Amino acid sequence: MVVRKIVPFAIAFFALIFQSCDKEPTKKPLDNSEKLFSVEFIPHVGENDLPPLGVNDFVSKFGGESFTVNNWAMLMSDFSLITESNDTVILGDGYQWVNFRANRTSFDYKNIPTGNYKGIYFKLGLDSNINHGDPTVWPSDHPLNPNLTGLHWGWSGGYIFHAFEGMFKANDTASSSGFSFHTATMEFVSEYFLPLNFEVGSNSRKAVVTADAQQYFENPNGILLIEKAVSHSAGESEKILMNGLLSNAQSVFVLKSVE
Amino acid sequence: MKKFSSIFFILVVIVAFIGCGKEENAELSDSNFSPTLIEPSEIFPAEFGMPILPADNPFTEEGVYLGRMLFYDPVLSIDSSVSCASCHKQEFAFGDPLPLSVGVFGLKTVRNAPALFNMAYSQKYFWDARVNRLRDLVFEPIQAHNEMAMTLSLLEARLEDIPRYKEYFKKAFNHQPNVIDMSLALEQFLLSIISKESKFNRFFPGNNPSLLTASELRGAFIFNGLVDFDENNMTKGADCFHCHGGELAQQNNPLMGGIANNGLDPYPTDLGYGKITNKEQDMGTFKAPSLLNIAVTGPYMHDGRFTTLEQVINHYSDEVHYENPNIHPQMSAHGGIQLNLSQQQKDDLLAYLLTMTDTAFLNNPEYSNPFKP
Repeated sequence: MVVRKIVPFAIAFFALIFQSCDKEPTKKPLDNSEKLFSVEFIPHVGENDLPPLGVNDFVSKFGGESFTVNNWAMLMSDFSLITESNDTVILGDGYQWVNFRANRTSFDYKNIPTGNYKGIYFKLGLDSNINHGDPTVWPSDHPLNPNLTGLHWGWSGGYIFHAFEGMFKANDTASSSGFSFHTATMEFVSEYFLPLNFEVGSNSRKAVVTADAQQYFENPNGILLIEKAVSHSAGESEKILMNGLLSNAQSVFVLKSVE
Repeated sequence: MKKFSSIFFILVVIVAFIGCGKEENAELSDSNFSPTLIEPSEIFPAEFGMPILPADNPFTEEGVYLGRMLFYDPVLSIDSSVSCASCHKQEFAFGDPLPLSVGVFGLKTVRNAPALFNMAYSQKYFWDARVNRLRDLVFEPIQAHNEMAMTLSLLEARLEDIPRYKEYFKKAFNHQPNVIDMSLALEQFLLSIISKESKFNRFFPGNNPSLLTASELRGAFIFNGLVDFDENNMTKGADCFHCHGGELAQQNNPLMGGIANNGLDPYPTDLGYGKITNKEQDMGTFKAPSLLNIAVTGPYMHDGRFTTLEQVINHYSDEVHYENPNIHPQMSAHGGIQLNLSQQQKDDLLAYLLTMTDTAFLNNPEYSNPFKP
C-alpha cells in the first residue's frame, strides 16, 4: 500500500530531475565524407626529436660547437601538393605559419582531390606584392597578420620569412651566446620540394615533415657560429651567411611519410 | 504516509528550484534590451591591423562605458580608497610615476604598474605574462591583498546596491550587477584604449622623414638599425626594434621577443615569467612593453629601477649582463659586446623616443574619469 502511493511521487520526482536540466545540445555526427589531409612538421636534430624549444639543452653541431633553439618560425606560401602529373593542389589559400615553440605545427585541409601525388611544395617567403603590400589587410587569425605572428619588420622591409634563433657554445667550456637568423627580402625567398609518392583516396591522410635543425649548420656548408652568429639578410657578410644557411635549408626538410 | 508524501512534495519543490544549479547572471525580463554595438573598425585604427578579439564579448557603448565607470570607481577596493585608476593614471599613459604603486592600507605592489593602451594587440598581460585575457586579469588586482583586497562576494553585493550599476549592468548585459559581467565590461573598456597619434605614428613607416628633426631621424636609424660593429668598434644600430618594433613599438608575439630577458641582472631575483612556467629558460624573463608614450611611463623596467630614459639607454648601451644564460638571443647574437653608443647616438636615440608621446591620447576625454565633470 505504501509502495503504491510512493510510486507516482517517485516518478514525478525523477521526471523533474531529468526534465529540469537543460538538454544537452544534439551532437552533430561526424561527417565521414569530410576526409582530411593533415601535414605535421616535427623538429628534429639528426634522427632524434629536437629538445623542446627554449630549453637550455645543448646539442652538438658542426665544428665542435653546440646549440639550442629558442625560436623557430616560418612563413610559407604556395604550400601545396604536387600530383603525379605535375599539377598543383594548393593547401588552403597556400599561406601557412609554422611556429615550433608555440606548437603550431599541424595543419588540416579538406577536400583534397583523390589521386596519386609525388610530393609537397612550399616557398619560405612571399611574392613581392604580398611582401611589400599592406600587412594590415589580413584577418586577425591569418598567417600573414603580423599581430598574430610577429613576423614583420614593421617597416618598409616586409615580412620575416623565417626566424631561427637560439644560443650556442663554441666548445664544452665556453659560455653561451646567442645566434639569430632572420630571412627576409625578395632576394632570399627559397623554394622546397619534398618528394614522396603517395595516394589520396577515400580516407584521411597525414603527412609528416621532419625539420632537422642540425642541417642548417652543416649540409653542404659548414657554418661556425663563433665566426658569425647573426644574419638579418642585409649587408654583404650577412647575405653570404644567409645564402649558406638557405642552401643548407634544402637538407632540413624531409617528407618522411604519408600515413 | 501523509508525512512521507509531504517529504516527497518538499523534495520535488526543492529540485524544481535548484535542480540544475543557480543560473548565473539571471537575465532581467526586458524585451527592449538592445545595447548599441560598436564595430571594431570604429575602435582599432586600420594602420594597426585587426587584433584578435574575444568573440563572446562584443563592444557596446554601454559595456565600454560601464567598464570605464568601474575602472575609476574606488568601490572596487575593500575600503573604497583605491580604484584601478589610482595606479593607472591617464596622464602617465595609464601607468604610475611611482616605482611601486600604493594599494589599500598603504601597502605597496611588488612590481611597477604597467602602462595600459593598445592592449588588444598583446597576447599576454602583466610583466610576468601570466594572464592571456583581460577579463581574467582584472580579478587579480581587485583581490590582491596589497592592491584592492576585495572579495568578489562583497564586491557583487556592493555593486547591487548602487543604482548606477543596476542601471548600467542592465543596459550593457541585461543582468543584475555581477562580477562576471564586471570583468567583461572592464575588458571592453581596456581593449578600447588606443594610442595612435604620436609624432612617431605619423612618421611610421618612415615614408615622410621630413616630419622628424635631424636628431630624431638619426635616432630612428639607430633604433631600427642592426648591431654591426665597424673597424672602430662603433655600431650604427642598436637593434631596439626587434622587441619594440612596428607601429605599436612592441612585439606582439611573445615568442619573437615579446617576452625576453634584457640583461638587467646577472642572476635575477625576480624570476618573472619563469615563476609562471617553472621552466629554467624563462627565469628572469618579462613582457617587453610598448615604447609608445615612453616619456611619461617612467620609472622604467618591471621594478621601476630606472627613473630616466637616459638611464635606460645607458643600460642597453653599456651595462647589459650578457652572462645571464637566459638573455634573449637577439641581444647577445653580436658576440655579447656592449654597444658603447656615443653620447651623440644616445642623445639622438632619446630624441627619437620622445617622438612617441601621444598627447591626444593622454588627454582623450573618452578615457577620462566619468565621475568628474
